[in-house]
Amino acid sequence: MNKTKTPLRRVWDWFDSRNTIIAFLLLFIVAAFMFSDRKFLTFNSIHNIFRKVAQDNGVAALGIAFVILLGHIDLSVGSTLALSGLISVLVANAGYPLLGVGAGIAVGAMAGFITGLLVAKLKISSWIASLAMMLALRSVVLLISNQQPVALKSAIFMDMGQVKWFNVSIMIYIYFALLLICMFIGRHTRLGTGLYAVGGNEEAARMMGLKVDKIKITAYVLCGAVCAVGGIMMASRMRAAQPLAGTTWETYAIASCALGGLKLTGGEGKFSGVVYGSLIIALLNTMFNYSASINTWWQNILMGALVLISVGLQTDAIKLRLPKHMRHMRVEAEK
Amino acid sequence: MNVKQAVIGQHERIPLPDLLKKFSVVIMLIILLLINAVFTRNFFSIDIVWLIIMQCATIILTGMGQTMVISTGGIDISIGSLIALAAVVCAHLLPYGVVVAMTAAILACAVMGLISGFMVGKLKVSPMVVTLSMLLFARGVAQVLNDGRILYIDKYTNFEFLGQGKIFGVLPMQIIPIVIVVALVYFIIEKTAWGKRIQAVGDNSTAARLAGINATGTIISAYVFSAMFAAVAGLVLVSKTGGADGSNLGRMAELDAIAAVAIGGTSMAGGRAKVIGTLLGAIVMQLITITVVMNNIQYEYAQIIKSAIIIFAVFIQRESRA
Repeated sequence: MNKTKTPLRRVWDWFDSRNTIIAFLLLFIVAAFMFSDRKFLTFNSIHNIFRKVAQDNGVAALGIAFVILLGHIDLSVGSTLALSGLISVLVANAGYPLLGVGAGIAVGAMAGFITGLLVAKLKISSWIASLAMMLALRSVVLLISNQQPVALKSAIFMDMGQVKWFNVSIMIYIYFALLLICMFIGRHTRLGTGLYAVGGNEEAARMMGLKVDKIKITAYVLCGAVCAVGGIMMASRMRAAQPLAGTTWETYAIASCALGGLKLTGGEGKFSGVVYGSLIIALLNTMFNYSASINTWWQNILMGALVLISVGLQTDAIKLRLPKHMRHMRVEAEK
Repeated sequence: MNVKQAVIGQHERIPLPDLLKKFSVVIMLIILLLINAVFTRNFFSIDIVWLIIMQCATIILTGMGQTMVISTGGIDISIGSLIALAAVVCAHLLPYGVVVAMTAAILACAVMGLISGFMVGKLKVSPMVVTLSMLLFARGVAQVLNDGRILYIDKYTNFEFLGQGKIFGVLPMQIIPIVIVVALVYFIIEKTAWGKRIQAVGDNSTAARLAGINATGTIISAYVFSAMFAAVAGLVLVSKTGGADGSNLGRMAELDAIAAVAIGGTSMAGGRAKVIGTLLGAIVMQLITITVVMNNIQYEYAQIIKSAIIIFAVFIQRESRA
């Protein structure tokens, strides 16, 4: 690293590395001004935004981040979520609520394991493998539930939509606990560094002696397990397992990761970025819900444009268009 | 292998496993037809052929564009939303005439494809992200134009003829766009230098660039064509169903298209386009559904069987890299 950074370069680096945070802050300020009359900057509305992250696709985004770091994709997150929610409700209804949670997570991990095997051992493209898993798991859910929501009868299996600790919904605690675990795995474990290595250059990782197949399968298992937690949270909140839970969530989960600065070709990005991505999506959602004047259908347009802009800003082609006197810095940074 | 064959001449015998690999879609199709011949009553009738063609139209049309994009090493997941966009634009402009409406719909999608292609080819953003945002964007535009409602077009019978009419009373109209699009893509991929460029860029874009190929233009053209074929599929769908539903039309259509391409033997990594393979892959996918439905098996089992077949087909066709 070059020790003599010019102030200009420091400013540029800061903008460059934290553009997602800045985007989020900007949106937040805009929203605060727009809805100042509605007391936007109150504990309740901020709590609601975080709750939305935790209960909507924030958890699925954390799960899919493991796979995206590899440069792969997992389209089956929504189906995994529905299946593990359903299994945990069924087991809980049979009288074993704690076992239900375990069974749900185990099913999610198992689904991830199968996808991982298909991708790592049979060398099938992750698109195709997870697409097939998505269809198959959804069908299994529809077959088991007979296309009807299965009501949750166990009273001990608590209602996560209602329970609060210190005025904060328990779902937010679970989300942040998951986030801390994911961040720990990403930063401080062999698996985490392995993920970045395989995502960056698989061939190089193999030559360095990393067990590439094992890392890939573990990433898919973790993705499945995290999504399973999301499914159980959803089932507990709705007091039922919905057969169509999580349909099309993969789109928003991938969008959160892209907004959060994860490189979709793999090897770059942080789990903390995923949180910003999820927050931006939740904030957009809230803005549209609050304002009566904007047509809700603009939401998708805005989200698409936002993903495109935020990712476009991170590309090399645009970085090369730095002012002339700054161009050498980019080259240095890449070295 | 193509190069080797060309050098040695046609006397070289292809070993059996390679032959099986090469014709795996055809074999699968034959097996499916045999299963149907044994188990399904009333299967071999001309109505079934038309039924398959009518139900396959979307997958075949979108699959052709997807074949081109995947051959360049990219992926286009915005197809489903573009279908909805084309349908909505067309439904809105029908009062100004059928030709105007259809042209406008195709042009609108072509512009979207141009944007995607520009982002992928010129700005080098990952195709996945670009088309993902295009998926959200185009869906949003379709919803805004329609205000979330369904626009019915039953007044325009001459337009509905495209999706519901029959030539000479037997041939469904959908066969015309299918034949045109498949022939066009086959001609482009197999017979023109442009088609070779598409595959060269997909195989190794740096090498292609160094060889003087305009990779950016090639990539942009693939995305534009993919979007235009999606528009055609949208037109066929809206005239078949008689209503343009901006929120739901064409949802998940991209996944069907990707699956058909994969079954057909096009490499997901790019560089190998199998146009006829995609066509057969689309028919195989639809045939599985029809087989299951005609035998009174629950639709969910069809999905499970379909996913198993997708995995199997891709597995036996994968390239064994040393």
